[in-house]
Amino acid sequence: MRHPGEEELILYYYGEHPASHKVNAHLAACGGCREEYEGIVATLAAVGDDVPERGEGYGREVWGRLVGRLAPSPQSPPRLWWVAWGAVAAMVVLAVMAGRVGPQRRPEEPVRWEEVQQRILLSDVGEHLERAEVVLAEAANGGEERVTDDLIEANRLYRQAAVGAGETSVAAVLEDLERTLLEMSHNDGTPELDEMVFKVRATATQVRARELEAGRDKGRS
Amino acid sequence: MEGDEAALARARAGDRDAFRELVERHSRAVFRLGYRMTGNEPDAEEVVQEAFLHAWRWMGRFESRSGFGTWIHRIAVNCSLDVLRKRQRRGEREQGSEDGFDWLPSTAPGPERLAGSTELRERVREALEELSPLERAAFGLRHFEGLRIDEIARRLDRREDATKNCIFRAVQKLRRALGEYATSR
Repeated sequence: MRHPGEEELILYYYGEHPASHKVNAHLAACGGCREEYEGIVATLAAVGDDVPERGEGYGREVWGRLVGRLAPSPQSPPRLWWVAWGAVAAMVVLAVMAGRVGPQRRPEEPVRWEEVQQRILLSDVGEHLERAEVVLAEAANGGEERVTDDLIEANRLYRQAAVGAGETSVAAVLEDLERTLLEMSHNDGTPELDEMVFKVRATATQVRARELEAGRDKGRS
Repeated sequence: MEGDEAALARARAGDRDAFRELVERHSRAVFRLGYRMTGNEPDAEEVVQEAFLHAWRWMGRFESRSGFGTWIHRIAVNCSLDVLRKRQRRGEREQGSEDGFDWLPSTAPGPERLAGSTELRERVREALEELSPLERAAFGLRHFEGLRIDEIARRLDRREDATKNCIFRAVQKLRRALGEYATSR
């Protein structure tokens, strides 16, 4: 075996090297690599797990701090959630067929439903928010931009997917947005458009920043 | 005491006592995760609060496919990343300011600096502070939480090779920062 690089030795340390037995044999025979590996072991061993202990009563303390801040009740289950998930599945299939997902992946990597779903969500939610922002800003300025059923439905799907993915901050904004879009669509009340525009813009910027961050990761990989 | 599944079913229907059971059962694990990801107690406590507040809010819409423990862990990872990013932005704004990060112990060596393991811990803490939010998150989930890299990639919504690189960069930065100090202990 050739001399393993630092990255391979890190994977070996964590038990994730695909040919760990070969690395093991090499380390037994090569003093230079063994020294390099011992350096990694020493560093990582120094990074100890020094989490402060929380006692048995900690959960009760947390509850005591939480209870005053909880909303009266959790969100109700959505009606026809299965329609929403079915539509998300259809979107994923379409996206894969359109080549938005497939080409980024090496052929030997298995496609995971959960990963694809999250990627679709985060890559498209910024676009959706920007589209919504245009509609809201136009309406806030007295224009007659129409809120389409498609926009509301798309918003509902993204919100649902965000909840499942644990992206609860994004889901919260999408929920506020959905309420505003419904009010606009039904001419029901006078939604606070300026505030909503600001919130949507801020979230879109945050999502785009995460995309850029992911792009930088990809560029380094 | 009933299991998570039964408590979850009741909590989804708005039963606060059931949610309280889940909070009491999972708080310590969420705190440990928050601490390992953020490296300090105030931020870890913020992660705990925010994660459970989010969980309650969305409880009724959570489809129980993976179990509450996995779900709250995922929410807590996202909350930790939010805290780390917020801290990074605050750090950028306050760079050079003496009153930023008041809750952090001074990094300047002084007569009170303790020797041995305490000093090593301090150096490790400083080195971890230098990692980017994603490096810190990926490294923390691998090194402390023991998650496999493919699972970390899913939780951070990153490609697997990008996640690996985050971990490599984190280890390289730690090696540079700790240098001979770690090997001489």
